[in-house]
Amino acid sequence: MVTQTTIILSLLAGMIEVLIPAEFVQQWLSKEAGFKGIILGSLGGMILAMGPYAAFPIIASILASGAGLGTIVSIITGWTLLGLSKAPFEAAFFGAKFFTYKLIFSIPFCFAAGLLAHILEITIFT
Amino acid sequence: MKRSMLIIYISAAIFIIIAYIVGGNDLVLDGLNISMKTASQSALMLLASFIVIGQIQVILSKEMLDKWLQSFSGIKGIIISALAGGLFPGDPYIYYPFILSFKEKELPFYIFISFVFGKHIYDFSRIPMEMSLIDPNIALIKNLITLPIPIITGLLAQRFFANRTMENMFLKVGDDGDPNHNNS
Repeated sequence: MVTQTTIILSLLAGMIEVLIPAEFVQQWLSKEAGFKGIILGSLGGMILAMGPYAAFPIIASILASGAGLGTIVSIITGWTLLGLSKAPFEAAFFGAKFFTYKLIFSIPFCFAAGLLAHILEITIFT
Repeated sequence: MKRSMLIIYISAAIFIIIAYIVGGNDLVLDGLNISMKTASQSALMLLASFIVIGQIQVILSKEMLDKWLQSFSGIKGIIISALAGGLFPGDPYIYYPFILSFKEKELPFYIFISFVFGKHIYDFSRIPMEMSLIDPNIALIKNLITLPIPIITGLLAQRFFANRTMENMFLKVGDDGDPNHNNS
């Protein structure tokens, strides 16, 4: 089971990595992209409406393609806080109003986490 | 087969086809080379992550978490409930019904918020997977950066909804607010 899972996840990650255009990563997701990458990362994390087994290989491929730390942290935070896969459950159990407020309230946290990671990258990890 | 695994199989097949269309056999082989490297690097960590997930599920009982959530208040309650959220195993269809069961137990709203954000941000069973599938350093940095989020949200909820419980926050139209009244 573990071997099978590892192989299929790695296959997915490898294929995504070769398919992501380098120019796109450089312009929109790299360290140089700055806050643009953080915003795009947070929104990208939100639409990754899937479990960790599927989402993490995709995020790993984006990282391997040259995305910045700020972008990667905002994607993961966006996926955990804003992830639309949780939306039907939140709306069903607590109401659409709660889901909407929680979503709006969570967005600044994704930006802040990405920004902090970006600052760390340009100040400490360069 | 679990739905999530089925999605991964289908996604992998689609990406192989796209790689073939875009770059022919060469691009597919490049992808396979990267896949083999990734597989050899992450296999052990992935095995460790499955063991951690299994252990958390065995060690923690719902009764234990139930007791934790109701025994503490204030900042201690916020931290404990955020940690309880992080330790609670399972998907939304498991943890949302669990936390919803506190609606009639007068659980403060801020404790509920800390639990929900703790589950989203901490989710300890996810950390080994993050480390094995993304990168251990990235996982560490991300978890350190986001560590205060459930505490901050809990404190904000306490500040603005100090005397509100889950029940009166989630009253539906037509509910009379009487805790003894069974709405179902």
